[in-house]
Amino acid sequence: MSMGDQDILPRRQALLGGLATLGGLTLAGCTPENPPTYGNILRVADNFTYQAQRLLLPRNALVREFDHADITSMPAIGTTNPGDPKEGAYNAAFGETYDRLRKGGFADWRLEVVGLVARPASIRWPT
Amino acid sequence: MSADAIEASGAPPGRGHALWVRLWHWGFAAIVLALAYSGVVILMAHPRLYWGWTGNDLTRPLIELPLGPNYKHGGWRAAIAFFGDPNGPVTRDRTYQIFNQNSWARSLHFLLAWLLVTALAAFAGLSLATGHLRRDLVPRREELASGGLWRDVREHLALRIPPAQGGPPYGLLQKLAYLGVLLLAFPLMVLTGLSMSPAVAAAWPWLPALFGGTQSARTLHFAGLSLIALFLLAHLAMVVLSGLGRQIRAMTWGR
Repeated sequence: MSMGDQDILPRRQALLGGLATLGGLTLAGCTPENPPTYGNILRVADNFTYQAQRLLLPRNALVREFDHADITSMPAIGTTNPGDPKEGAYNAAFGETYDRLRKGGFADWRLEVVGLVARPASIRWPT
Repeated sequence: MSADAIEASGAPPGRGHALWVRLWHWGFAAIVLALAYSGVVILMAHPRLYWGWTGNDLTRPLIELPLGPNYKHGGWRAAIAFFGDPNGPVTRDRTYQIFNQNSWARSLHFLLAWLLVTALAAFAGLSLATGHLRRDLVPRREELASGGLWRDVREHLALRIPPAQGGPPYGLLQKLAYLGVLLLAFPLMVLTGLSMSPAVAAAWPWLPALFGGTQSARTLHFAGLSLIALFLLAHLAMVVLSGLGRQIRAMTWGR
């Protein structure tokens, strides 16, 4: 198993297909509202930039894809251990569970898809 | 153009600077200085420049700039396999506290970039409409003829700078310097700056590709800053050599 496994995520093309069928429903979720400025003139300028981007740039443009070789070997996540009481990221509520799952290589971990969904599921980490 | 040449050609003394030129000049100067300041603060967070599409702390830079506390930092602790799997993800801690003021510096830089683009558009419109571009900035054929450029270069190298007349007509090298910085350096800054925006790069991938990649565009953005800084140094040197007080008065009050 490596972090590079792509089978846990659908390919972008598949996502695009889904977007096309959902159509306006998906876009309706992206409200053109601006983030709050808190009276800060620099944030007002940022909002001007956001508005210009929405006005001038196509809405369905996708960011460039990079090879794994192009990505820094310093991961943005997985650098702290919430299960270690000596660390600043220690979480008393979930730390113990996290530590137990981590020691098992997250083989026992499940992503529960429940609630108002058509197909409830329990997804395990691919091994 | 030397003082003798002006006298011999019977050219009129300086016509003075038009009001819009004076307002634009000081406004543009303030925008560019503030852009340079906020740009350097942004650069200080990561004073390494790369070529191509990608680059990060653990890849070899094209240039490492001696700028701020992040230059030649203490480095990295040994890489640790995070899950105990030798092929799994590794983590590497820095041995230093990173300097990063990008939050306000980027917002300020973008605010100023909007003002810069507005000012450049205003200059294009006004210099065309008033004839400033055609009359004062584009070199005349007779200036370029019979080694005029070479003569002007020699005069400048010998530091034979005619005293300020307060406004146009400008010398040949002076015209080329103004046109070069306005038509080449600033458009390069705008285009390489846009290339670094993830939104623009997603919408128009050909734009960063034009410069050889996002990181190349970032490197060329710094090269553009260097060109503009060189222009500013030469500009200030010529202002001082041709009469500082006279030039400041002319650019502020008109004559």
